[in-house]
Amino acid sequence: MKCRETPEFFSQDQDDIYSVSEITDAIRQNLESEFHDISVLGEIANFKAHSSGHIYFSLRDENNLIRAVVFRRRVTELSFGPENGDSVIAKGRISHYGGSGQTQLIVRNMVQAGRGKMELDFRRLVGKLMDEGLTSPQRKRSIPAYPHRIVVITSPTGAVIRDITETLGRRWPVAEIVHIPTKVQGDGAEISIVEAFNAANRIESADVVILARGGGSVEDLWTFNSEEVARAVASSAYPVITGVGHEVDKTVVDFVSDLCAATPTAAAELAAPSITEVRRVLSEHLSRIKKLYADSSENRLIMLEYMLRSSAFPALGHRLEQAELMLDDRRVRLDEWWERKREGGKNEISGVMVSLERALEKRARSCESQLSRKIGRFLYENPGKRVSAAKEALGRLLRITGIRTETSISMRRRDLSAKLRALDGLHPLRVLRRGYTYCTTVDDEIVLKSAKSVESGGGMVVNFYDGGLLCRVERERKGKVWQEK
Amino acid sequence: MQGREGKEGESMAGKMSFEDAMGRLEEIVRRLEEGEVPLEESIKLYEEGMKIGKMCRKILDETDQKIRRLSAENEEGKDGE
Repeated sequence: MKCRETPEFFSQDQDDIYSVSEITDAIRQNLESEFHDISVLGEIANFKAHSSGHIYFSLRDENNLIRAVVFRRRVTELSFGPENGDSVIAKGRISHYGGSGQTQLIVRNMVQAGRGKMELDFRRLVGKLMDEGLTSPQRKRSIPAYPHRIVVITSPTGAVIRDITETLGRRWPVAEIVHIPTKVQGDGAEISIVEAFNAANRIESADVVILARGGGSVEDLWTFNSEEVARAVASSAYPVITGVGHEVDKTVVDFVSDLCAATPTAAAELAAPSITEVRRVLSEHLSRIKKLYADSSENRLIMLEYMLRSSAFPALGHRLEQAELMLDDRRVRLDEWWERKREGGKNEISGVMVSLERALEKRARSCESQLSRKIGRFLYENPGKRVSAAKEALGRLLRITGIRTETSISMRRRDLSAKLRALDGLHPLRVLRRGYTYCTTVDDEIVLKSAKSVESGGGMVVNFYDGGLLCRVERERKGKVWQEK
Repeated sequence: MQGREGKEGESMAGKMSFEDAMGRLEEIVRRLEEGEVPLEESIKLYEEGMKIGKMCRKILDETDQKIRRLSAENEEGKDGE
């Protein structure tokens, strides 16, 4: 039989047998996913700058080496020209190339070992602080929105403190700035900053601490990567805003501070609000309160009552109630009084009337008797005066009536005269002056109208205008004297 | 501003802090906007709001930046101010 293999050997499933390519791919995938972002410390060996622009070399230590490559695009970004023997930290990923069966480090960035050591220290410290939870987002305190005391820990010289005070003065002059000057680089800088934090912790009621430094080299900023400074920041009694270096610089204190700003000026801006904005917000609040309050103006009257009765004015409310009670009481008493008065009114009034009547009567009688007495006395004492007074009165009366009578009489006289004149011509005696006479009986009683009235021998009176003649008739003479036509 | 450096500043401590005041104002606005505040309380809120607002304005108007320098080596106030 060709097939001499033991059954045990073939007992595995067909699927568990890799081809070379399969296992190579598996190794590549495992390596590349496991080591896709690593830093490796080593010494450069077998350095070769290829004409393509890529750099090939090995990284080695005492016992081992690994091949490495920096592709052309990354070469231009290196901060130094690598040479054999350089101790470096190379950052990149592991790649397994199946064609040559080689595993190599694709270098993304590389720094010289001095810096590489610093980088490692940096990472180790950050990792340590992270493990302690000092970089935890939950640990970060919020910065008070309206700080009234801002502590600034930075150098007394240079532009940083000026930039910060100017920024704070422009944005939020409300706050007091307490500047704690420190060294920010070189020997003693770390302890200076730690002591500054100790001093800041003793300040009463500060709101925020700004830890700042201007831009500089990695070495210049290294103070801010020290564990002591980082722990001082982490344990600050007040929230800390860090503004160290330029935008690109990241220091350890930035990981443990409550807020990390790109620059010192940016830190100042994050520490305080803009007063203009705060004024606007404040005005808005007030106008809204006013408006909301005014909106309820239809309730003003009720409000007034509320104010009077509210517990805010207890005395007023109490007095109001007392006044109402007193008013009610008086009203009742007034009603009662009025009722009583009305009942008793009639009796009282009639009583008064009777009294009045009596008084008047008495008074009248008194007056009457007084008057009588006075009149009597007057008459008794002055009868003459009384008479002459009466005469005078009568005289006055007569004069008055006399004037009237005379007026009346004269009028009648004139009237009569006119009538008499008219009558004058008709008066029968008037013709006597013209020779006529008339005869009457002897006793003048009867006017004789006929010759036959007297017998012969009888008497008669012939009346002239100036007297009469007593005559005796001798005889009758016949014939008429006057013939009526 | 720089000329005032080192001068002892007046403390705002003891008064209601500006932050508390602004927070209270927001609270008052919110309460009034809810519209379910009893009338008596709304009057109180209004009065309180106006009072706090005036206080805040006063604080903002009395701005005169104070800067003092504190030596880290010495206790506060011992550095010859």
